[in-house]
Amino acid sequence: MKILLIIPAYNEECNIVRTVQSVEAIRSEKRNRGYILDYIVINDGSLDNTEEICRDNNIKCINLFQNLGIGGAVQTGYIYACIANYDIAIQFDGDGQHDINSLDKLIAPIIEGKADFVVGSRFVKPRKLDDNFQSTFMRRVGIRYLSFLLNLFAGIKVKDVTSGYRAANRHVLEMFANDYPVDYPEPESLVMLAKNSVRISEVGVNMFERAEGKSSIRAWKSVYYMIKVSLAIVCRAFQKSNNKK
Amino acid sequence: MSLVLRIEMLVVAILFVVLVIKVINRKKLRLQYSLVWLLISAGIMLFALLPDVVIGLSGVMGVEVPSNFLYMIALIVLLIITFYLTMIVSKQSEEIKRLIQMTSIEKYLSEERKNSNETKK
Repeated sequence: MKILLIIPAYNEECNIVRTVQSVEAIRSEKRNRGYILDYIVINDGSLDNTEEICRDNNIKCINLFQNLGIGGAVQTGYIYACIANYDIAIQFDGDGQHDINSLDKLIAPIIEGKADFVVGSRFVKPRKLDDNFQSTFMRRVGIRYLSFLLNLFAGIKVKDVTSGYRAANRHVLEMFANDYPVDYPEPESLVMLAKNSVRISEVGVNMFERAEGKSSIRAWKSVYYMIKVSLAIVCRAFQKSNNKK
Repeated sequence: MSLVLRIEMLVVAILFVVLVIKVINRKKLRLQYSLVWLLISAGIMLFALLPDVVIGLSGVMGVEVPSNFLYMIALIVLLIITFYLTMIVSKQSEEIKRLIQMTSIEKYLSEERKNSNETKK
């Protein structure tokens, strides 16, 4: 079983080395259990020294020569996973938010054949209460609303719809290599999957507060964000699935 | 429609045709996009030469003043063209995205191959 961690990175010079080290730390343990765990950093045209730091530390890194935004960067990872014949692709943030130790829980439903796509969730129990991170109040309200919208238009029962910690099996990663939403892609891509009758499941994972740097969603942009995402979800909900064509 | 307006329309249309042909020859406009502009120029010339057509059509469409009918047509045509342009832009950004992705991956793969060859030696 070949597993690829897709690590999108935009201006992550402070965090990327630590993130990759946390992945390297568990690679040999996974190999002993019969998995090959690789990672690929997608440097989305960072303006800081992310590229140089990756080169100096021998970090496997695809350097996009122009900034594509998170959707385009993640899709690059899916295309690479497709070309390099990986069985599972996992999205894993380059800013150190995601806990690599939750990896087993995330891929378990795929390996057991119970799901095609797994969302790592902050809101699903069990989780430790003290040391993890559930985001600010306004963000939680926003996520609630999006979750409601996804349920209404696509019948998706996922709570943490904006989570960027997600695992895809071969079928889904091929689909994403072919078509992946451009900006704020997480909720929209879920609708896309549901329309193509992909089995989605959600498991509880551990996340940390961002070590350094800012989240890509800022307060004054959030209203515009909500409008755009809502529109994207509604449009996708009326799209014909690829199976039926 | 006054004679002055008709002459103005004719002059504008002719100048526009000249401009379109010049720009095509300088390779600054693709032939496929020039067709719509040439057709529009032909339309303006037609209306300038045959004002009865405009008057008749505005009657049919329920517009009282023929020049208002011209405004309406112009607005609709421009709306369609800009919409079509945003479609082209979207398609092209998708193509550019794919291009950046594939060349970046290809560059990474060729560097990987080079590195693994060097370690073999």
